Amino acid sequence: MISGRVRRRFRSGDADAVRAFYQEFGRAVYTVALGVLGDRGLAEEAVQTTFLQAWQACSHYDPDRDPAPWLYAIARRAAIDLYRRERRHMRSEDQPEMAALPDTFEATWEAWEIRLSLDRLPDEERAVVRAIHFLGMSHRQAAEFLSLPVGTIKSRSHRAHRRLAEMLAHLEELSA
Amino acid sequence: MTCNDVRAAFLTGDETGQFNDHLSQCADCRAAVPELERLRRALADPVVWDEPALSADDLMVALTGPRRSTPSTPVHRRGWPIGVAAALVVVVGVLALLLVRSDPADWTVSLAGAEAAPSASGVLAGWNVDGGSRLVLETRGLEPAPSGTVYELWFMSADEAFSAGTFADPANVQLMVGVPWREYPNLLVTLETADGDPAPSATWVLWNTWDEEEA
Repeated sequence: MISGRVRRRFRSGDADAVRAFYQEFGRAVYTVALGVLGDRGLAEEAVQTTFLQAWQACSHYDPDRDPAPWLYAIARRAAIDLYRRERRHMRSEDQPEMAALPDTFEATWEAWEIRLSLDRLPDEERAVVRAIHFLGMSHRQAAEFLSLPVGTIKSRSHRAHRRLAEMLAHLEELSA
Repeated sequence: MTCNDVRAAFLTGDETGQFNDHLSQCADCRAAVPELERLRRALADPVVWDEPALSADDLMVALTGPRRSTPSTPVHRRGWPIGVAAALVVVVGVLALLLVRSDPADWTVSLAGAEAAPSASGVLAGWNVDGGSRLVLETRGLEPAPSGTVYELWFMSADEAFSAGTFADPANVQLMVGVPWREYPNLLVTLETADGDPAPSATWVLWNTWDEEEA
């Protein structure tokens, strides 16, 4: 988590604080951009734009507040702008595929929150969650893949999912 | 069983009798089920697991170039250093990302270390998409390819070998292949040099241990 000291340094434009912000939020920004744009190269470009704009606007950032919603708003806008730029480009080449924002756009906030939560899991728990959900493995397969006893996989899985359920509980309230 | 235990169990798909007992008595958890189902699907979405290639150092180099009112030229369009570029995934494109479902893999195959990397191992996961499979290769104990070489994943039958693409960094491998795994069940990762030879090299790194004589 970003400390108050780093937040204050970010506000003053400190480059090391920008680096720390990227290490904390860069993957979540990338997730939002990739969800909107569907292209890794464009998503990387949106990430750079997001952090450049955040840096340029650092004096407007309130260091007493969690930077996540502020950065999310910048990331979302950067992705939309890039999307529109690409859409104009595609129109000029008579390619109508990007005529409207993709359906995935509405889910970007949820994807942002999920990615932040995954990034905040300890590495060994995140590896188990990845094996189960992303790779579709059973506990036994995950145990073999990660070279761990099945019991360890089960306990890590339970701890990880408990943490995720707690960190993401507010999404239930939002959707209710 | 607390509400958080129940929700954790639901997310893992472990819906036992205790889970159902709790659910029948807890209106809050019953109300949370649709969102938990959505969350479970979202956790399988490749987008939330994809890793940016941009390191913090790359970002700072890009941002501290000539300061302008508009963003600096993106790193990837300036041309990355060869090492970074080679680390990028080779084949996945917009189409694959859009076509991939937010589901667990349709199939997984374990790979064992071969002569060139006996202590390495891996799992290849595949998602069936139109025209082939989107692939994610997870490896353990495999170092990045030495300079001037790349790893190459092959789908093979008794008499044909199809390349699914090359990669240099085994930590982040996503590829596409245009042939079905069931028809090309022998999977092989080789180390390749830029020799122009379209066939797999003799330097085997990972394979799914088929019977060589039979193949």
